[in-house]
Amino acid sequence: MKQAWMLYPVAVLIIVVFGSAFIFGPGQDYFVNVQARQQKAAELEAKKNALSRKLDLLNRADDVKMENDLKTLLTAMPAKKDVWGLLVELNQAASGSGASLFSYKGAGGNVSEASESAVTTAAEDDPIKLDVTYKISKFEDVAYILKNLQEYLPLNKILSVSFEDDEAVISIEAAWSPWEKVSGDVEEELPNGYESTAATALKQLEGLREANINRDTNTEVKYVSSPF
Amino acid sequence: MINFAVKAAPAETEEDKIRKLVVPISTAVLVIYLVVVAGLMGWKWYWSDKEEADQSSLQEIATQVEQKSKTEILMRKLAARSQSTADYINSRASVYEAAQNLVDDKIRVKSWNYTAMNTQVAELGAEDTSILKDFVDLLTKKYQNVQINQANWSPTDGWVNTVGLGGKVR
Repeated sequence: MKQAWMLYPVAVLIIVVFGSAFIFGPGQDYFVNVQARQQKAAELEAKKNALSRKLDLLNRADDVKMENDLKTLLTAMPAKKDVWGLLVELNQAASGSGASLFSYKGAGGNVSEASESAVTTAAEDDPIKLDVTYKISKFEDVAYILKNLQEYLPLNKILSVSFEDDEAVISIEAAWSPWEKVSGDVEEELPNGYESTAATALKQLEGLREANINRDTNTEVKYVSSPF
Repeated sequence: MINFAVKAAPAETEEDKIRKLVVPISTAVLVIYLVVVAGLMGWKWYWSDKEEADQSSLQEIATQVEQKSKTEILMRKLAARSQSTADYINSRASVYEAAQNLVDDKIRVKSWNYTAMNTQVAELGAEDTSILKDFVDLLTKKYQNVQINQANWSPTDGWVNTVGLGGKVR
């Protein structure tokens, strides 16, 4: 057949037209599809980089040091209300001076340790506050007691002091902070600058000490009213 | 016998001319089309492959991060407790320093009312008014606001000034 060659351009035309329609035609959304893949790839890349940085930080972290630091910080800021720790501090603060603990009153609240997943109510988060009365022979004793209390661990906060003649009433709060719920999301970023925050906190604790006395042998203190 | 006479080529028809033009153009179009399609398919395949590779790599890193969960929990606990401890320490007033500012051999502190971060009122007694004056002058160097609220004398207490102290300890 002499005109058979004409099939060739016709076939090319069909291939180009129908092939293009198949690739770019309605419902195919080639470019939208590729763009979506590009975006997804960019997102994955970003996630991968973030996770790689996180993994790098985790690999470089010193578990032993962190555990020791956390232990020290827990001594300063317990995870549960340490009423007895505060009472030890109050007893010990006056020893060695002419002052003596006369009475205390206040509320301890729930002293059980909240689990990390437990939701604590505002009332449970309330700090332990006590009003403590000391019998004082001279004002210097007040300064002495305050100095000791300020240097004790667990941390405490003097809210007010009222001194008159031979008696000082100190309103004091004991520090505590429940565990915070730790997210299980693997993509959540690590706390920023935790090392410097920990170093700052630990430096601030330098020079402070635990108040330790044998509670069983301390018979000098007269408890007039129970705080609970 | 050999015929050396040149045989005349058949005359090129109009159709031949069209064929010679259309066939190469069609070939060129086909080649360009195939190249473009192959490129576009390759481009799509590249992103699909990259997505799969990234997904797989991400999963692998996520698994490694999960294996370090103990370290992560420890880190988060440490960060939270460090922050709460530092905040707590920074929120404390130096009450001892405030009390110590009133300790003096020649001064008798009859009463002292202190509220953390707030003003304080002290009843200060001394044998002589000049001693009290010197001491109050000293306090003005330590506090931003020093105010003598009352000045009394009685046979039992002697000279007693009620002094209000405010502002941060200098």
